[in-house]
Amino acid sequence: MSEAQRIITPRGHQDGIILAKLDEVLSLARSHSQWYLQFGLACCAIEMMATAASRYDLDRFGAMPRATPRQADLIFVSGTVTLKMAEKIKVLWEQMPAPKYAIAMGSCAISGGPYSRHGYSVLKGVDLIIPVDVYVPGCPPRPEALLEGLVLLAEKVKKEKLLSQKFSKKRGGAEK
Amino acid sequence: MNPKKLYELLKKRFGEAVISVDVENSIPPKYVIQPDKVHEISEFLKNTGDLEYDQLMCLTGQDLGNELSVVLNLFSTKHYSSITLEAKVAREHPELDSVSDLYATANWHEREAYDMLGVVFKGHPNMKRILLPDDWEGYPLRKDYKPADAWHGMPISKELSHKHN
Repeated sequence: MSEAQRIITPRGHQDGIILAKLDEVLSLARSHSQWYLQFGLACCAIEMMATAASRYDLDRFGAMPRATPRQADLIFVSGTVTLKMAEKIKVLWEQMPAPKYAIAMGSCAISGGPYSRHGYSVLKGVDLIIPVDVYVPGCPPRPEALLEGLVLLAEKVKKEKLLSQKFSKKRGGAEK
Repeated sequence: MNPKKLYELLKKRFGEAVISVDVENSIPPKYVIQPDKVHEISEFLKNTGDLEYDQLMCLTGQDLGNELSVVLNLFSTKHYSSITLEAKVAREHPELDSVSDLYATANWHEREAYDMLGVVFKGHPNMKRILLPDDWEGYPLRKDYKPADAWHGMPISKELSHKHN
């Protein structure tokens, strides 16, 4: 039984009425509609572009590039994060509306990569400035690896219960 | 022009300012010159017939340990010939004339040399860092460079980054 069928297998669906948990439907929809920020940093960005282009077609997972952080759910940090650029990434991240996600693509974004020891101008991992959901290793990762990263993120998003969190007294409100 | 001949020509015109020529160990031949005459010699090489070194292929800085040096690679599109000029400057007070009014290429290259090694080019229209942030401390390609612990609150060294996490 597919994910959609499991959620929308109703207790009764006569007269076009479907009963389902709003939280699960919402998260299912969100997980298949991850609009990412059209933003690239280094050689990983070339690979990200290849992933988005026709051969690998990122679009079939519901991921579309948005040219403004205001419309983006997701940011691929695709490449070397220099300290100078890190400040700009932080601004872009803060401009994105929650719930929002980050994928660190490639060795540089994960840990500084080849610049981790002597790279005086490179941030040693983008997770020092923004919270990262999925790490995709590689130098650069192949498009298939990036696609798997996106699918892993979709799995994570599917499990989220944003509404329950928002209205439960314990959590106080959804952060992401 | 034959490198030895050119050396004699330069020596005759600029005297002490032209220190030596290296033909054996350097391709193209390398002329070591005084830093305060870089502009004049470049102008001469550019505007004299039979020479016409009209293109600056690269301008870069070096840290030689005791002193810094600036290297210019000139090329003549007319005579298909290239030469190298090297000017050594003191570590404590690295200053020489900008050639950016002769070669537009020099503008960004001189800014890079300033950014990485702290060589100041007098007469440059916009002498500031080109790659690193304006408030960066130190010159990273100097052999004795030690990076700061952090920049704008972000850790720089790997060890500190691990602690940060």
